[in-house]
Amino acid sequence: QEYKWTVQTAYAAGDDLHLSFVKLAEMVEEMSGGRLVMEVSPGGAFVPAFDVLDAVDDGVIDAAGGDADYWVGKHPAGSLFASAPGFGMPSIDLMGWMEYGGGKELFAEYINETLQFDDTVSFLLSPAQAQPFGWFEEAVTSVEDVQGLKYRTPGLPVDVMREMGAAVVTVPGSEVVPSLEQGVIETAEYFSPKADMILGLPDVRKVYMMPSYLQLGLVQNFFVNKAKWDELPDDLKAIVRYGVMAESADFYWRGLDENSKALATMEEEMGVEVAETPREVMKAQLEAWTAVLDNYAAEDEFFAKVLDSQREFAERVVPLKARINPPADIALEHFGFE
Amino acid sequence: MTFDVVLGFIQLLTLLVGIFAGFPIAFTLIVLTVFFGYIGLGDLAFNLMVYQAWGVMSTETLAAVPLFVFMGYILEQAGIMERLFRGFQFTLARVPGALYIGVLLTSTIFATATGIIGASVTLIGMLAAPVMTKSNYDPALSAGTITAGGTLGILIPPSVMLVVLGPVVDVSIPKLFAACILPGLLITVLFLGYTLIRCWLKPELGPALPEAERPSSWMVALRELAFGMTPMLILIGATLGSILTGVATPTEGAGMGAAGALLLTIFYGRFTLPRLQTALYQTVIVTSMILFLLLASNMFGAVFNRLGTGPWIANTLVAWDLPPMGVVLALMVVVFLLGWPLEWAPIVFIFLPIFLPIVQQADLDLLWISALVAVNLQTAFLSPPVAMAAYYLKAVAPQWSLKQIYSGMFQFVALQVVALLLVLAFPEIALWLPRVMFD
Amino acid sequence: MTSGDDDELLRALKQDEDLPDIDKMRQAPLANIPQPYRGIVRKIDSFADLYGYVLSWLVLALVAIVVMEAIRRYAFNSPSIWAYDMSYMLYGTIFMLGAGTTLRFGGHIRTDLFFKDWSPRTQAAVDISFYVLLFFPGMVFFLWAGLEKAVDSFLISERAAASFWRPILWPYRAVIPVTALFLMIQGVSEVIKAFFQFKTGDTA
Ligand code: NA
Ligand code: NA
Repeated sequence: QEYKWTVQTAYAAGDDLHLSFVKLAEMVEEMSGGRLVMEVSPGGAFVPAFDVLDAVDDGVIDAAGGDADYWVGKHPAGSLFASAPGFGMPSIDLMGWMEYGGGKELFAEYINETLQFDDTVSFLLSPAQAQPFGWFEEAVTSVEDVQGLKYRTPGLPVDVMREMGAAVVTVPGSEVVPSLEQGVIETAEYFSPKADMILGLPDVRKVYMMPSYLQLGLVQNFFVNKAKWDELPDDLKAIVRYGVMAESADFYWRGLDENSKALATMEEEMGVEVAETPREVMKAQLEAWTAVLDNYAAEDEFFAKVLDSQREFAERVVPLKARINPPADIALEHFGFE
Repeated sequence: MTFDVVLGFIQLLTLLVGIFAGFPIAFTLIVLTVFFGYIGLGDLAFNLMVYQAWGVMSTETLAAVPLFVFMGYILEQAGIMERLFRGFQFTLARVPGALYIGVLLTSTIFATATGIIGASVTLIGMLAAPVMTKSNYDPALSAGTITAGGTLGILIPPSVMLVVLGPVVDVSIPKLFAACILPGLLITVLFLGYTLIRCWLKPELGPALPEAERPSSWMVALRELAFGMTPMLILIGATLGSILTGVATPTEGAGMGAAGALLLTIFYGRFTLPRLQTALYQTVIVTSMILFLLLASNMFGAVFNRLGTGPWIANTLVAWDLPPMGVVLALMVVVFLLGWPLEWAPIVFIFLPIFLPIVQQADLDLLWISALVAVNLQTAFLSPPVAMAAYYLKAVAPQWSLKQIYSGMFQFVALQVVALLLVLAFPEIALWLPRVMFD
Repeated sequence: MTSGDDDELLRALKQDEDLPDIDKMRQAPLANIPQPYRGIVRKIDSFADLYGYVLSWLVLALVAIVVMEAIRRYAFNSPSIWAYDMSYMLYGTIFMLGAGTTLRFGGHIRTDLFFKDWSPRTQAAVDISFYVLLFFPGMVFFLWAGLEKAVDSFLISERAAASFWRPILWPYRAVIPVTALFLMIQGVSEVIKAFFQFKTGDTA
């Protein structure tokens, strides 16, 4: 028997994030010999981007792509499964917590119980690299420079930047680039070098600041309507499950290739200057994050539970990585990469 | 072709008939959505409607609609715009069709302040239609000028459509903005040339002011123009100026215009509480009409796509394996045809992503393709039966019948096609400016 | 047959030539509708007038909010946390709930190419069949699906996520079912008007 799913993501068609679901669909179709076909449409095709999870639960669409930063309005813990700093674990390590530290089970609890979407089966996939600090008029050289900065970002990073003293401005996503161009906002961040380039950010700002703890990567979500999932035979279920893992790895590798190329293009052909974020600013980011997260944890039991679980995993993993990985600057220097 | 796909085609055909039955268009769209959606998708169709309603309700940029409509009603009540158009007419008293020039220039300037068609067509319609009627201008050509001029806003930046289109097609938004400026101005010039030639050949389409009503001297005419222009300049300064200087977002710019208009009426001594109350009340009615229509057409498009008909058409065309130019032409024809029953959003979201890979394979310039698509989609607002511009105008210019508005619009649809062919034949029209600005 | 409010409005009209057009629009002649239906129509229409009146002042509030926000951000570098959410919520409430008022004033555009040439009786027949067969069922489902979403939102205390303000969302979600309800209520008045237009063959 053949199955056909209508899938909608929360992203624009050219976006890397959207393309991850297109790839997943290709893999699943090939592995299943065409028995499971997913037709993937971009955000807004059937329902607004922010509603894809609701729409899967209703069955309005069969499956959806998004990331939990979209659901922080429903419950703030979403951020912990998406781009919050995870005690220093970038998203590829956060995926480790999800597979082996209990994160996957907590995410299912978040979707099915906390948000009460009990007709939804959820998967975590496609870890992204750390997200840059953003596009600035002038490089930030100290924590004071962030004070009063008209900065645009969505989700919990809003709380973090406010905590740091920025004048956070809310403009709709569609207005970010025009608002930067006219100067309504001074600074904004979007996602990755490639995605930022497509959006046109290097055409309106030239100073690209990185790295940043504001959004330490991103983990995406793949949701399937439960009825649609249950009707699949076991082998197709396995194909989807392992397809998600395969695409997760491939997304990360693709990201290395595409983002490095995009960054080179922007630096060499578009006059973009990459500025290194000062250590004290990154420290301040983590301090602000900790204050924000502790605040939510004090108010909400589930939030605290997720945070504890992450800390437990990070306590082992972050030191392991620091000890076992030789520092990158030695290789950079030795091979003369710059 | 599955049953659902066929159902989608029937949904389109039924719309063509149903919309002429004369029940309010918004509700005709909604009930067709409910009917065909329910047959094809069951209860899900109702949820889909709620999602689409929520989508329109949470689009902050659309808040510009009530703000601009309110600005229009306030100005209408104070008689400010009438004075501007009269000044304009006085100055160009001997030129047949002076008001067409006025409308088109105002529309083009206004297009740089907003990309929301509902706002620009209603505002310009409110201000120009009464004067045009009073001056015995041809209703069809007048209505065509206002609707076509009003839709320029979606092509000339800022424009939400371009902002949505850019990332879908992998093109930077500022570059896409730049690519659409010259095609937009080209269309303005085509419109200007067309109306002037028509009036030159047939002066009764836009009669010059009768000898008796002409100003006694150039001085009088200039004074009228100056008096008429001043408030207009103030308002453009408030709206466009606040946007371009980075003071305000486009929505806030609309609010600045509304507040500016209110201050002007106070300054001119034309402010009364009953007038304000009426302007506010009419704003509610016209805003609701505009956005309910938008919501209904979004619902219609969403169900059409969810039934699978939209994707089926696109996939069928892609399977034809056309040569590169054939791909471009097929894309243009489909977008043009679908623009008749649908609005831009369902086309951008469903068709372009399916076409994108073959356009990329064919190594065509995506910026050029995007500009072509944008010009083509602008036409969708002017093509009945789902021709939003016509309905927006009808709401504020009830003296014109839809038949008159349609027949005027058709002339401008033809001009749009000419513009499309020009951009197709001379890609530089779209590509020159972005190259100069960004390379 | 004559009710007091007709006379009152007429007197007001004579007193003030500058009376808002809207009050003139309100005096749709209902002479061909007998009691008690006339009373029902009048009650329903006044209800639509009433919320239309409330919504109309929200337009002014919207103007004030967006203008103040631009000034706060530009001149004082201190954007508010609530202006963004307030502006789309006000705008959405105005156009959604205003749909009923718009229906009452015949503000939803019709394709009148053929419609306007039909006899008043045919027009009324078309209207009645659309309302009864399609409009009311459609609105019932719209109400139901909208209500479900609002209740879900209430149960998880859903908040808007874009700004720091994070207002509770269910009241705004509830605007959808209330819109459907208001439209149905106004639909009753419109059906009664159409019914007596059909019966008497007279538009007034
Ligand atoms: Na525009
Ligand atoms: Na159309």
